[in-house]
Amino acid sequence: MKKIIIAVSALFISITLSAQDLITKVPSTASAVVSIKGKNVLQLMSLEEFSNSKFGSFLEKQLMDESKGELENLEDLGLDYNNTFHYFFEINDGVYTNCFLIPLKDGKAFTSLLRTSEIKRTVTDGNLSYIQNYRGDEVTMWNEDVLMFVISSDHKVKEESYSYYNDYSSEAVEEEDYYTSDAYKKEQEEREKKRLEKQEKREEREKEFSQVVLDKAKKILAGTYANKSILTNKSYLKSLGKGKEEASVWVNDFATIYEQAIPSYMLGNSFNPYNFMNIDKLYGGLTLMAKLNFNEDEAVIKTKYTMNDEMAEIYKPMYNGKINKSFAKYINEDNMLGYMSLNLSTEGVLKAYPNLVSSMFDTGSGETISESVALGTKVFSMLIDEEETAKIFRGDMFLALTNLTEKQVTYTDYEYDEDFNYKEIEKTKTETIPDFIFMFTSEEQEIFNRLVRIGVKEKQLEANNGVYQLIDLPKSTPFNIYVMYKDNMVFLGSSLKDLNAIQSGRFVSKLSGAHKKNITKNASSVFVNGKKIIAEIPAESFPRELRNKVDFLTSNTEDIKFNFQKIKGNSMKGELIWEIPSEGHKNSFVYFINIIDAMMD
Amino acid sequence: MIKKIVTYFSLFVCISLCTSCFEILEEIKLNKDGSGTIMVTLNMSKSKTKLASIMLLDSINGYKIPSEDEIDESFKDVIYHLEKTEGISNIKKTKDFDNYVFTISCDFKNVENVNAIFKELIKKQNKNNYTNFTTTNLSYNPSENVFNRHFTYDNAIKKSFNTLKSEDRKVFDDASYTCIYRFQDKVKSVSNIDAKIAPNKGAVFLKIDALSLILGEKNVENKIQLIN
Repeated sequence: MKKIIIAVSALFISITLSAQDLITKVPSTASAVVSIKGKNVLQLMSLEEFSNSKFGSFLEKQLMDESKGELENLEDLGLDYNNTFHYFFEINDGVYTNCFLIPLKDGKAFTSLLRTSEIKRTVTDGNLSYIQNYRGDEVTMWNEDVLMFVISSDHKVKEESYSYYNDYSSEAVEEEDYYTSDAYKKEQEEREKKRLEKQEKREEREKEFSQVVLDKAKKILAGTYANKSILTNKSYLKSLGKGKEEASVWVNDFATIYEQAIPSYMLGNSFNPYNFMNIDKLYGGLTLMAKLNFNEDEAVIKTKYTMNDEMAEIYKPMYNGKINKSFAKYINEDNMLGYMSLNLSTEGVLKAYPNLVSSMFDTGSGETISESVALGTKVFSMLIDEEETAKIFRGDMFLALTNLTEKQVTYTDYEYDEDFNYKEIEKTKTETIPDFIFMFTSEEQEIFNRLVRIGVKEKQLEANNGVYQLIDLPKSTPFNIYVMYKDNMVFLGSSLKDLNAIQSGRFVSKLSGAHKKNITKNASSVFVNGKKIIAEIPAESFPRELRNKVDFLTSNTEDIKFNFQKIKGNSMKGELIWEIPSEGHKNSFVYFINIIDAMMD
Repeated sequence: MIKKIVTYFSLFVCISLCTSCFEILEEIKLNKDGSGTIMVTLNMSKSKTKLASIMLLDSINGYKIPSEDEIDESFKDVIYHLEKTEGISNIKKTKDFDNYVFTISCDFKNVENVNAIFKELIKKQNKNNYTNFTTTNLSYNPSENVFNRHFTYDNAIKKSFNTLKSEDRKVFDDASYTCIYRFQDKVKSVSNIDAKIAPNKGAVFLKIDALSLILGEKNVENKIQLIN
């Protein structure tokens, strides 16, 4: 059944993709693919609108300068903006290939950008033209429909080059005149011979590699692969979805990437991690997908990690914590600049950690390291009482940046008399210092009380109505830190006023349902109140070039949110939302172009 | 651990928000025979909130932050270097980690001894980075009674500055370099248009903002003609 679904979806995708979609040129063995959908972007902002923006005009001016006036605008460049641009990365046996595929409408237009030396070096082979750099690791290739850049690097050569030093590894110098002896000269000659041999070998490999890169480029452009294109890769197909995003990133099986990047044979036999670590168990089936959508009122990046069944089983309990709903009682969103919640389960982490480490080293090879790790994790599990430890630190925590307060600080300056004799004087200035509060759940009040008693006795803490000030902070630390315990929670914060209010039950809380939902439903949630932060930061704290743009930034910055969901099935989903102001921008893509324009002023 | 995370987070915010700048003060008292005293002060007290935060971290913006002990060690190296330099005596230092003000002063037999302190360092810099900084920073001609503060601007300063991230460049926004020269003879004239002569004619004062110095718009070059 699964196979039928994949076959049907592959068919559907190949029909919906335009005949010229360059994705068919990406091999199924690609480790990562990044795509930018020109058509979707143009729906948000036409090429003409973009050309009229300051950023667009700037790019066009650069284009005109580079082409010596032959290309006046982006349209003249001959790119097919309505099509999809792709980048892919492939690792094969220590050879890294980066490839950019750019759709063309007019294959000749962009050649105005080439330098005379590049035009001279251009080779025409049938309907395709290409330039290869002197080292041979970069190829620019194009035909009527595609412009392609291939940048490769050969990581095998680097491995070999180090072995040259091995010739010098064990020298025993006993005689004083050793360096003038015939034996030494003979050894030197042999070493020189070996060096030349290796150099020759390296040069040969470079020549060979240069041909490999060129052949590879031709193969990509032709799109004829024995293993077929990426459209036969199940994980990639699954990541495609409805295709409404403006840009997407897909990263293939991490285990394959590691194994291809550093093949086992490159590491030799002694202490080869592949012998005692099970990379496949840890990273096998782990893929990453991210999609960027420019919506009308927000820009959203959605990410999805997918892992193998075994890893999902191990990780699930770690992220399956319960957030303490009482955290919300001590937050007032009117004063809140941002927060971060983390919803881990200490019990889950402690139970999962030994399994994770055991799996990692479980190669079945009987290697001493693997066996020792298995023994160690077993002992760890026996010694640690997960449930009792979780009573001290349950794993749910909340950090809020509550305010920016202005604090008067002194500094030394000089006062000069008319003869330029000077004396040191003390002046004051205002600094903006953040207030924060950090809370975590702990059922062990007894442990807290004992620690506090020791702290007070050792003069590390100063008691003040149930709130304790840390007094061992390094001098000049710009804020104080207070600590207290209440209702199964430990509080750490910089505002004595807030902590006193919490301790005496006078704290006024306010938190919207949307925030409460984000905090409780997700494994981790981050919120940044962009508008409030920019409004509260003193203008002089901005870089000089931004100081006159503070008003613009204040009226054009909204909230930024990041939520990381709990593991469902085999996946972990994340979502970054960048909200934009309701007025002044047609959509979030135009918003970012407008911001760039404003910053260019 | 938690205290560390929370402290680091707050420090990070402090570092982003607090302003930073510094002042370098170079004061030379020159006697008629060419001997004298030099004192260099680095005053970073205006940035002390930020520095106090930075000092608690191991590194920031990719730069390693030296600890108080490491700064102490560097101070010792400087003193050792001065002690080895011919004609230099009466070396004094002050360190104030509460306000971040550091001074080093010494007596010299003649200004050539002061040049010798930095000569090797500048030579090395010029060789390694193809720059063209002068190794003669000070000169005194007793027969003409002329004191010179030499300075050659090199584009490498601007280039290095431009490679800094905008956040790092902020450090120089309000920074300044002040030179004060005192003489036993009266000052007749100065060549640097930004320099001021004291009404009693016994001292010259020059304060330049660091950005103008970095960008080459102003410099500390000064020819001071004394009355014989």
